[in-house]
Amino acid sequence: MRELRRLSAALLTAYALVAFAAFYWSVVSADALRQREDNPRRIEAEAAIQRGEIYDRRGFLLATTTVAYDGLALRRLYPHPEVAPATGYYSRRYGVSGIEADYDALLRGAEGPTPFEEWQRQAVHLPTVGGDVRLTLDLGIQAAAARALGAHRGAVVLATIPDGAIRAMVSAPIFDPNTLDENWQKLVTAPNGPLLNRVTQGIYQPGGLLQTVLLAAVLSRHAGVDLPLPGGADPVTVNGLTLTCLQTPPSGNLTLREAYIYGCPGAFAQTTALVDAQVVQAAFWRLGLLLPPTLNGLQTETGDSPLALSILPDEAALTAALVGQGALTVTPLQALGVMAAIANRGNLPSFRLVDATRLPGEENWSPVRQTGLARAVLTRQTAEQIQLAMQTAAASGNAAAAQAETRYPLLGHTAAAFSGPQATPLYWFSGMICFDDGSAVVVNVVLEDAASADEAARVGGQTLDAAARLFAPSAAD
Amino acid sequence: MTAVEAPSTRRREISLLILAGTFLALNALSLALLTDEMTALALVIAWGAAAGMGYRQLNRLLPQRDPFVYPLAMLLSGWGVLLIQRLAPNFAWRQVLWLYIGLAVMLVISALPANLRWLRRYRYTWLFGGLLLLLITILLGVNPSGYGPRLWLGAAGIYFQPSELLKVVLVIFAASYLADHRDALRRGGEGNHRRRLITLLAALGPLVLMWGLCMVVVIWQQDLGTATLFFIIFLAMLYIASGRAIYLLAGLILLLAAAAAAYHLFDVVQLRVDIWLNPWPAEARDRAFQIVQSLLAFSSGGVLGQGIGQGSPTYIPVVHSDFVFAAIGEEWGLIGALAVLTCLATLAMRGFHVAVRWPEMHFRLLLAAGLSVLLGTQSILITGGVLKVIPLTGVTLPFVSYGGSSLLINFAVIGLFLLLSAPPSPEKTPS
Repeated sequence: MRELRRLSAALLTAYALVAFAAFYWSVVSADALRQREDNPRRIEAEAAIQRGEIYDRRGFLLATTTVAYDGLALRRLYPHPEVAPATGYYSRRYGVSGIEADYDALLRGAEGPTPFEEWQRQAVHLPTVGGDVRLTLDLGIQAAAARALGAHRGAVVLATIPDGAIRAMVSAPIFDPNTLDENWQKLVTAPNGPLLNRVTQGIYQPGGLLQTVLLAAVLSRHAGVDLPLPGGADPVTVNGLTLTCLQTPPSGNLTLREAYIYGCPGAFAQTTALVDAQVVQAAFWRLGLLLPPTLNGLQTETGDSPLALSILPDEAALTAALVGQGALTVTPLQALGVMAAIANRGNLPSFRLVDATRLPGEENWSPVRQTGLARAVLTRQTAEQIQLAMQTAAASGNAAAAQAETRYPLLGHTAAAFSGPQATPLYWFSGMICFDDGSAVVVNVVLEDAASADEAARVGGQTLDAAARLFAPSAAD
Repeated sequence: MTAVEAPSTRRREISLLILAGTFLALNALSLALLTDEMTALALVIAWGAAAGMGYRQLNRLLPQRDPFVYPLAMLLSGWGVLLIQRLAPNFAWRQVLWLYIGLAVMLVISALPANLRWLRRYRYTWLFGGLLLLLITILLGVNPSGYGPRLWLGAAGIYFQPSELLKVVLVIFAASYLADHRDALRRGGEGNHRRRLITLLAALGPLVLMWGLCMVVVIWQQDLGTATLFFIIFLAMLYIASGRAIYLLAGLILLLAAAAAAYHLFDVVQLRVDIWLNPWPAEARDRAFQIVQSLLAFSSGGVLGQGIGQGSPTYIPVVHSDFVFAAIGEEWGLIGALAVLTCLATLAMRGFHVAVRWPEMHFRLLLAAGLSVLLGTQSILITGGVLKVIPLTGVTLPFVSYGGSSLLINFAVIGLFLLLSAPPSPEKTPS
């Protein structure tokens, strides 16, 4: 019968439409639906991932996941919360940061298995196991740096030269990634920004920190660093602030080299009398103060690009820029780059925080390639000249407090800066210990709440000492 | 079909039943291993015993029956039992009990005289009986879950939903009535236009009156899914009897007009249409939770599914009842969903196949076709609703959803299908 044929055709068409809808939701738009925030299965799947582990360079566990008897991940554990600035955090609710974010794909097991292996795993509902990451950090040095920093607010970063491996990265106040979910609101609203990694993202006024760069600029042109500069020891007034020497200099006119040793801004305010402003600008550029440094994909920052020195509107602006109270701001990692270039005989190495990775189920580690070669940014002679100045500063100048913390001969330089509308003082210490085989350890310290530059020098000295004990060639023997 | 064909029918039927049993046993084993509990296997054994008993009795009662209908119904009902064990284990044995009751009803119907005079002659009695039950439900109805529409009559922990019975009774009534007035509907009587129109209205009047009465009672209960189903069945059967597409067209226009009116009259309709149109915004999340979770279940299942017991369909509220198809989509994937749709479509098509075997016997034809439309439309309404093809209507997925009344009535429909598929002579061939 015609009516029955038509009705059955209509019913079959309706079934086909429903079948197509099933195909559409199960296949065509399945991925988009699976990723939806309101999909509780996504949280379930996340919970089932046995996230990989993070180790320090010597195999100490820095992050792991506790696993319940049924294979479902319970929570992420960080046995050493002081490493949080480097490891970052992992939270099902608040996401990931630091190495946890940078190596998320590996840690959550998305890297490694072939599509077929992944399909097999899903078909039999095996839990996803993530790969592991080994950092260049050394837990011992990290702990020493954290101890040295104590209750101060600020940052310490230390690297070995020539490999550019970061061995300590401390940012204080510290946060405990183990209790992130419970304390999230407190952490994000805290005025002292505990979640901010001050080493890579803390933007600070450089102040006297720029003296090393200015010295390098003058030395690079063989201009007279030993010429007496009238008024080199005099205070400098910029933006209503009076800047003085960190250490009382001998009487009489100071040379630029002496001003560096005693931390006197007056001589450096006259840098453009010795070299052209463009030479200074080029030194800023070459030593990496105008670009965010790369560090295994970790989010790094740089300050806003200031106007070139040569086109600054007036003498006062130029003076402010030369004494580090202008528009240029830097991060401790950028400041470490300056020290690294000097320690590495003028070659700026690229920094790295991750030493090796390991895919799930594998025993052997695969080294992580360095992101770039060292760049020649200073001549060897210039670097050595600066080293000599730093050596004197550490022996008897503004960085003597650092030398008191270690038996290893130390090179160093301290600096003061003022930041913010309240002109809050902050203190820098940059230093290094060089070894006979050409290797070195370099450090940068910034303290936001210290009473004097000596405190920054002490923190730097203690951290360098801990590193030298491990990395001095005699220690390795 | 001749008597010689009976052994081949039995072979085909037993092969299909074994296939269904194997599928269910493997799934039950998988579920038992996963949950460390043997109940699923016990349920499949109970299902196997029921299927075997039904098969033996049918061989005796209706040796020349359609070979696909019974195995398909058993596969779907067994799948349903397993799903209920997976989704709401407390109800699984209750569903098995209803499966046995449903099979008993199916066998009783199969044993009744094949000429169906008992059914045709007392059409008003059947219909008024059904309506009476529905009226009692309006007065004394309950909801077993303690909230929601009170569509059940219950005593001693056993609940029955009279609107399920009314669906079949309406089909029987319409088939009987339309078979008697088929000529008038097709030709419109003799004489001029006016006379023909009067004849037509006279023929249609009682039918429309009865249908309208059913609709009023069902809408009174706010059981709008069943009301939609009634409407479509009525239209389809009128079309088959009259052969006039104009009825179908007019009916569809009426259906749309009724839907528009219902949208403004009933909050529940408005809600369902709104969440059908756009369930995704955050502000609609609470209201559209079921449908959104249903679609997420399909996406989670993908092509092959998560495997029984390994998905998360229980995120969908009352998944074991209205949204059981979404659970199939998640745990058996697209393949499982298509398998269920194929089974249901085949069942409906076998009904049409039965209908065309004796085209001169109008009551049998209309009854078989009406029951096919009932099964087909109900399954499309619920699967389409779960997949956001159409707005959700609260009807069950035949044989699979949890619900005793639904299972019992569906097996009664299967009994009628089997009876209709056998030769209509009063003498039955002994097995």
